[in-house]
Amino acid sequence: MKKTIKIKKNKFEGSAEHRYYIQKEHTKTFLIHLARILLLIAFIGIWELAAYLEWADPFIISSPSRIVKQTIELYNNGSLFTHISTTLNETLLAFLLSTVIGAVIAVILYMVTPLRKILEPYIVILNSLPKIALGPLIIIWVGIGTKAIVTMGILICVVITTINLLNGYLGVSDEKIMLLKSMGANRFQILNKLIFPATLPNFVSTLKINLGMAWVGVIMGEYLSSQAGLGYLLVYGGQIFKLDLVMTAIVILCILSAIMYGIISIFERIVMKKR
Amino acid sequence: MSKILEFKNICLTYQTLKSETQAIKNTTFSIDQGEFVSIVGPSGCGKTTVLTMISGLLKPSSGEILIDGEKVTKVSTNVGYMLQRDNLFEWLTVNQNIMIGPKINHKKNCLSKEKLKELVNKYGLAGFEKSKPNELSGGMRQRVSLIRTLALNPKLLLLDEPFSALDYQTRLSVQNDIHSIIRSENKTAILVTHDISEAIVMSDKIIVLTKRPGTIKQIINLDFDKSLTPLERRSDPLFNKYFEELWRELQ
Repeated sequence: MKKTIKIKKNKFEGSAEHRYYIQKEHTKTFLIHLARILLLIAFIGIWELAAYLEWADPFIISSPSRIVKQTIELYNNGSLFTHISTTLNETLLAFLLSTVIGAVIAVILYMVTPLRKILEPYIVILNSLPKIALGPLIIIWVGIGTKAIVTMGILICVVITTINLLNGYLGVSDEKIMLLKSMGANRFQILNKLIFPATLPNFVSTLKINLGMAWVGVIMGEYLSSQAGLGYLLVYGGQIFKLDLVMTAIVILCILSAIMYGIISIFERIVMKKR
Repeated sequence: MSKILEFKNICLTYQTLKSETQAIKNTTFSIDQGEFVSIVGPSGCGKTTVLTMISGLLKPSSGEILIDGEKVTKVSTNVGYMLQRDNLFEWLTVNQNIMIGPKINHKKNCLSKEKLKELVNKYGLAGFEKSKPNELSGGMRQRVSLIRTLALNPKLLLLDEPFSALDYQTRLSVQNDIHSIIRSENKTAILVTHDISEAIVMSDKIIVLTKRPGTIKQIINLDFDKSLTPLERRSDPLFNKYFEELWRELQ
C-alpha cells in the first residue's frame, strides 16, 4: 500500500531519474559549502594548535585566541569602534567621491572627443604612476589626518574608475547611436536613453573594483599619517612589535571588506533586476 | 504620382589620411510616393552610403537630395532607418522600445499610442508588450524594430539589409510580413540588399549600381501582379526572368 502511494508521488514530481539528479546536485552544493567551512575551521584550529604547542613562536605568528583576547581588550578600552568607524568612514568617503568624480570626468571625456584625444597619454601615465609616490605631496598640500587619507583613497581610485567607465561608454554599439540620431535624439538623450542604461553592468563592476581600491588607498593613507584607524593599528602594532594587534587589524579588515562587497553584490542584483 | 525623393547628381568622396575614395559618382534617381525600391550592386559599391546620405547622417560632397521637395540638411524624422541588426534595447520592454522615438521627440508628429497598439496586435506581437527582446524570436524582433521605426510616422523608410541576420526560413516569412506592413501603411521604402532574389520579391523597381565608384548601371521596373506577396512572387514565371537579368547585370 505504501509503495503505490510513493510511486504516484513520483509521477507528480517528475521522473525518478530527475529527482535523483536534483538530489545529487543538491548534495554536491552542500558538500562544497561544508568543505569551505571545514577549511576555515581547520585553518583556525591548526593555527591555534601551532601556537599552543609552540611549533612556531606565538609572539611572531599570534593565534586565534590571542586575536580574540586583543579584540576584547580593544573593546574594553573603548577604541575598537573608533578605529573601525574611522577607517570605514574614510573608505566610504573615498569610494563615493572617487566614483562621482570619476564618472563626471568619464562623461566629459566621452562627450568631448578632442579633449579625450588630447588627454589620453596623460591618463595612461597617471594610471601607471604608483600613487603612493604622491604621499609626501599630499601631506604638504592638504595636511595630515583624514583629509590626506581620503585624498590618497581618491587618487588611487579615480583614474581607474574614469578609464573603466569611459571604455564602457566607448564600447556601446555605433549602430545603436546612429539609430537614435536618426530619430532626432540629441547628445544628452543619447547619454540618458542609451549610454547609461547600456553600460549599467560595467558601472556596477567598476563599483566593485573601486571599493577594493578604496580600501587599499585608505590603508595606505593611514600608513602615511593617522591618529586612529585600522591602518594606524597595523603600523602601531608593527612598531611596538605587538603582532597580535597587527593580526587583529587584518582580521577586522577582512570581515569589513567582505561585508561591504556583499552589500555591493546585493545592490548589483537589485539594479540588474530593475533594468 | 508625386516624387517623394529626388537624388540629384550626387558625388561622395571619403577622405582618409592614406587616400581618398570616391564612393558615389554623379548619381541621379527619384522615387515616387508609395514605391518600394531596392538598391543592389557589388559589395563596397556604396549602397549603404546612399542610405546614410538620404537619412541626413552623412553630407554628400556635391549634389543635393530633396525629400518631398525639401533639401536634406540634417537628420529628420521624415526618414526612418532600419538596420541589419534590430538594435532593440535589451533593457527595455517591447512597448518601451517602440515608444523610444516618440519619447525622444516629445510625441511630436508621431503615431498615437492607440495606433501603435493596433500595429502591435496586427503584426503578431499581442501579449508580448511587456516582454524583453531576448524573449522574442528573430522574426518578432525585426517586426518590433519596424514598428519602432514606423512610430515616428516617417515619409520614407530606409532598410539596410534588415533580413540578412535572420536564418533562411525566418527571412522568407519576415520579408512577407515587412512587405505587407509597408504596403498596408502605404509607406515609401528603399531597401539595400546584396540578395538578388530578395530585391526581386520585395520591390517595384530595382536600381543596379556599378562597382566603386558607384553610379547607376541600370534601373529595372518589375511588373508583378500587385496582389502577389513576396513568397508568391518566388513561384511566378517572371521571377526567373528578372533573376537572370539581374544576374547578368551584376557580373
